[in-house]
Amino acid sequence: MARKLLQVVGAVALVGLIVGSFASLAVVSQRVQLVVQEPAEDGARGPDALALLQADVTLLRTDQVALGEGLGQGFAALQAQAQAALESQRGSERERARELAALRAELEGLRGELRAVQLAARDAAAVVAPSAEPVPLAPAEPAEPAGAAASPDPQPSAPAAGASFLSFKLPSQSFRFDGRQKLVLLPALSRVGFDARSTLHDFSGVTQRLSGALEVDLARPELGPRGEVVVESASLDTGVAGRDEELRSTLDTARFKELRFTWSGFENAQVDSAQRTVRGTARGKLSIRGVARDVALPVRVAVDASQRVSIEGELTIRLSEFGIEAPGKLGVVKVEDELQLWLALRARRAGPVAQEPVAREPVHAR
Amino acid sequence: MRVELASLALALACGGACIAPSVVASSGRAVVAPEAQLDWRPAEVGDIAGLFDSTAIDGPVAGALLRVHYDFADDGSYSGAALVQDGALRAYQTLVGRWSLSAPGRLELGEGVEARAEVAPEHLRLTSEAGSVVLRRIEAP
Repeated sequence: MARKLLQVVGAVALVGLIVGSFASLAVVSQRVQLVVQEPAEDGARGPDALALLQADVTLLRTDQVALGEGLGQGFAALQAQAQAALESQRGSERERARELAALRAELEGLRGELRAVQLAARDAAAVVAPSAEPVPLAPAEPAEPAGAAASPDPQPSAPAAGASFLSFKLPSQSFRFDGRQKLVLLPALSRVGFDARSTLHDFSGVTQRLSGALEVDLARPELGPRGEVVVESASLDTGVAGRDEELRSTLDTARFKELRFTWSGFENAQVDSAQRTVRGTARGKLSIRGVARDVALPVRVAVDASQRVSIEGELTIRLSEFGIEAPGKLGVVKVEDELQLWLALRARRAGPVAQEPVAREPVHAR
Repeated sequence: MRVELASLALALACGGACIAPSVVASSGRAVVAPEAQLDWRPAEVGDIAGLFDSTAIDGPVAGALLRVHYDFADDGSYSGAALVQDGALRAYQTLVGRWSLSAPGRLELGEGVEARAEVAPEHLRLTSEAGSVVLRRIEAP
C-alpha cells in the first residue's frame, strides 16, 4: 500500500515539476528581451590596422615630398656648379684662342722678317759668291695632288697675305714672275714620252716616274738657267707588254736606269711678263743608255691658275746618235731610227734662290 | 726554212696589224686629274664624316697649300691639318672645331668659315673663293 502511495506521489511530483518548468519558461519569455546589436566602436577594443596603414602611407608621402625637395635642391646646386665650371672653361678657351691668335700674328711677323732676311741674303750671295754648280735633284716631294687645271691662266690671282682657306691661315703666295727661283717638278702632274713610227703602226711610250728641279728667272731665262729632268727608263709604257719588254732590252734599263736631261742654257727667249709666258729653246745634254748628246729643245712655259709652272716641249732625235739600233723583228717589223721626244711638265715654286751672275767670264783684278 | 720564216713574218705582220696605233695626241700630253671625271653632287650630312686626305688642290691657294687632311666625326667635331709653304719654309698647321651643314652642299667649319661641299664616291670636294681641295676618304667613321 505504501508502495503504491509512493508511486502516485512520485508521478504527481513529476507532473508538477514539468508544469512548473513550462510556467517558468512562459514567465521568463515575457520578462526577458534579447537584443543582438553591433559592438560599439570605441578605442577600448585595441589598435586599428587600417588606420595604422593609412598613417604609414601618409608618413611615407611626406617623406617622399621632403626627399624630392631635397634632391631638387641638390640637383639645382649641381647644375649651378656645372654651369659655373662650363663658363670657366669657355673663358679659358677664349683666352687660349686669343693667345693663339697673338702667337699666330707673332709668327707671321717673324716669317716676314725671315723672308726679308732671305731676300737680303740672296742679294748678297748674288753679288759675292755666285754658284755655277749643277742644281742638285730635289728631295723626294710629298705626293703632289693632281690638279685639274691644265690650261695656263694668264692672270692668276693669289690669296692675300694672311688669307684663310678652310680655316687655315695662308701666307701670301703671289707668283713672282721675275727673280731667280727654284721650281720642283711634280710627278703627279707631269709626263714625258716619245712617239715612234714603225712599219706596222705608230706608238707612244709614256711615264710619270720622273723627278727634277729647275732654277731660272722666268723674266730673263737666258741668265744661267739650270736644272735636271730625270726619268726612270724602265717605267716607259707603250701599252703592249711585249713591246715594253723589248724597249727595256733596247735601252738596257738594267744597267742604265735613268734617262736624263741636264738643262744649261736658253736661247731665242720670247718673254711675255703680262701673260706670264715664255717661249724659246732650252739647251742641254740628253743622256740615253749612257750616251750624252747636246740637244736643243723648243719649249713653252706658262704659269697656270694654280700658281704652277707648266713646261711643254718636244724634239726629234735619232736613236743611232745614242748608239742604239732601232728594234725590229726579222726585217719585217722595224721601228724608225727617228722618233719624237716630248715632255709635259708641271712644277711648283719652291722659293727664291741666289741670282745667277750676268756674265760668267772670270773677273780680273785691276 | 724560208717558208717557215715567211710564215713567221706573216704572223708577226698580222699580229702587229691587229694592234691599233697608240700615239698620244699632242693636245693630250698634259696630265688630266682623274677627279675631274667624277660625278659630283652637293654633300648631305651623312656624307661628311670620315678621315680624308687631299688628292688635288687647285686655285691660287695651291701655291701655298701642299697637302690637307681632315677628320670629320659623327658628333659634329672635326680636326684638320695642312702642310703650308711660306717661301722656302714648310710647316703643318692644325686646327679643331665643329662642322655642320647649313644646307645641302654648304659646309660650315666654325668662326664664319663656309665652303661649298660636294661628294663623289669616296671623295669630298671643298671649294671657296681662294680655291678648291679634293679629298679622298681613307677611313670611314
